Amino acid sequence: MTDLVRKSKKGDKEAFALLIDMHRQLLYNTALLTLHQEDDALDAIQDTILACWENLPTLQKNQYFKTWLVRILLNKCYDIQRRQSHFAYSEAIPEASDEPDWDTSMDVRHAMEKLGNQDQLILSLYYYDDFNIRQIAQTLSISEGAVRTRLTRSRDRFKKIYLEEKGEAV
Amino acid sequence: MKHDAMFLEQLQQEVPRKNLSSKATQRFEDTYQMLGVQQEAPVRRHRHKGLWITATAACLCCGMLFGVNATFPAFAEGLPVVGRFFETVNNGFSSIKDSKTAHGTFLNTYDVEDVNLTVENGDYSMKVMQAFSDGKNVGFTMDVTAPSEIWDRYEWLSVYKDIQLTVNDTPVETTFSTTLNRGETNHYVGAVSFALPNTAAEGEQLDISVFFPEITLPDKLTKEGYIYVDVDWNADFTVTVDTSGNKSFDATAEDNGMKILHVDSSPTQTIITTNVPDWFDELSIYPRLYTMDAQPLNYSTPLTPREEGAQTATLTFDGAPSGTEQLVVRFYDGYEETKVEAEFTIDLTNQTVTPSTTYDDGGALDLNDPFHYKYLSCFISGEPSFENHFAVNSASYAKENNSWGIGLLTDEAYKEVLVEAYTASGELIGSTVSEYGTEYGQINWFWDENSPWWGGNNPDKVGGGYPYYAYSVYLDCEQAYMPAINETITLVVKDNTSGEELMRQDLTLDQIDN
Repeated sequence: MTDLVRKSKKGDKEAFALLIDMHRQLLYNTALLTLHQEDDALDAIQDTILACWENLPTLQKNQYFKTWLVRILLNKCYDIQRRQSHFAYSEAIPEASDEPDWDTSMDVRHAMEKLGNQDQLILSLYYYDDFNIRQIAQTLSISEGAVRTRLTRSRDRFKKIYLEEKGEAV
Repeated sequence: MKHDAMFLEQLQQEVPRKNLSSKATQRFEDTYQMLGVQQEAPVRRHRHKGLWITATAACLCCGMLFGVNATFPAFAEGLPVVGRFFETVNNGFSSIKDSKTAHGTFLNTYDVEDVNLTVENGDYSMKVMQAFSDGKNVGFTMDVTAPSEIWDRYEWLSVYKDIQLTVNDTPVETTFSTTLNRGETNHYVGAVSFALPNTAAEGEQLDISVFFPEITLPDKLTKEGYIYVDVDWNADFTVTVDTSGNKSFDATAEDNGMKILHVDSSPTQTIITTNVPDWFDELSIYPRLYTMDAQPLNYSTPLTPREEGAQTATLTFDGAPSGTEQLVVRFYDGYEETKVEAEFTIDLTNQTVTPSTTYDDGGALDLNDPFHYKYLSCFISGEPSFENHFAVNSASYAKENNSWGIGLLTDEAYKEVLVEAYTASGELIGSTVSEYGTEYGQINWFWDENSPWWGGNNPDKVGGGYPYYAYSVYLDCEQAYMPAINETITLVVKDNTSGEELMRQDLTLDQIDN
């Protein structure tokens, strides 16, 4: 991938298109998780791709491309949310102390709702998009500890409920 | 933790990974088109424009509108490298090579018609200078005159939005956007090319009518996007079809399973019909077409040039310069362009196609030729060695645009510097003056903590890891200079105010990066 990043930084549009193609699913799902409306998500993605191309020379370390790309996407998503601020707000990212009250979550759906968009996003980035904890922390500008806590708690919660439903011991 | 299959299964139920919809797929393709990756026209959104028209009406006089969320309409054209280096002042047609379709970059080498039709609107006017049609495409050059305050401020403008075009009164879907680069004082020059809806015959007169509702300029002042200027230019002119440079012939050549079946060559395009060998696997094949002196002709076929299951693939390249007798079409195994899977020499004079091995014959197209590369660079790794607070981070040369990019680091605040590059014999390659910031439409950049995604000296931050500010500049080159591998150049940085030389360093271009 870094080879494509390097070529893209030098103006190779085809390489850039391939690079973006590698991240289509990541962009799509991240934007959908953040904005919920597909039209808005696609607007954010388009703006992200164009901004990414224009600002790629400012990326100093090519290996950070994926993290950097998602950061741009989230910025674009938040821009859209702000424009729609009469009915939507960008969700502030709480610190670890603001974790949901897991003890009152009685089922998976409820737990998911309590997770909130950002935690769903963290799960998605981690489990689907192969981000590591540091990358998520960099992307969302939260501490690695907060990411680790959220991942651990959400994973354990789901695991517990899943096994309970299966009638198995935790 | 990451390979917890049970959890992942549950997660997939609760946080489903939605496959891309057709709308999403199309939006990706549209965006690529805006970047100039594929050949169709850009699709532009206007979902938020009304908001910004309202917002800016009170702020901007002189009828200028801008749209923050208008998705960078001239985006591909505004790229630093592209925007600066193509030769438009005396040869408007050459700018076609940076358009979406790339039909007719070399029309200036053909006998084109003079049109000289001027249309005006207020402070702006547009002149259609020359036109040409080979019966397949039409190309024409434009010269826009703008107020001096605009010309002073903007290096380029573009036309692309809501263009209306008819040929012999038949509407034509506009599939182009074009950038006009700053030419002589108050002038911007560029070219447009578009495909005819139907092939036209020799001598046929085409009545062209084109309407440009507005021009677009990068708005560096407000830093919010672009300024749109209503111009409502309508130009009606005629062009007579000239097919004298067209050639079309069948072929039966085969190399490594690849067959060339047909060649269709004209001043605006070269279409090569091939079969589909087993190793031809969509994105893993990279066709390139060259003149015998190694000049590449733009490839405007989409990345996947054939329909699924199809037996043939039609590859579309730009037209060759007038007088071209032979071309070489080469099929690489990948982006690195280090291995040739198949190659053919196309003899346009004798209308034959034969397998060839020019990649190994010691000529201009030899893979081991010292000039065979797309990018040549020098990167300085490790802790920078500052001289008067400046250190070179990188220097790179891109053959496609004959462009030179220089990266500098500094451990002090921005200052305007003059950057020059010289050959080993002391010949000036090019120079440029730095600019502060990283705004849209800006060519030379400087980034610091005020820049987007600045990571500062925190190596864990995205874009960070350097406790230094950085310049990125592209040299203005009066004449193209093509360096060879391992050639040494000298980079000189001067204070642009005092003229004091701040840094001088020799750099060896030792990295080929195809």
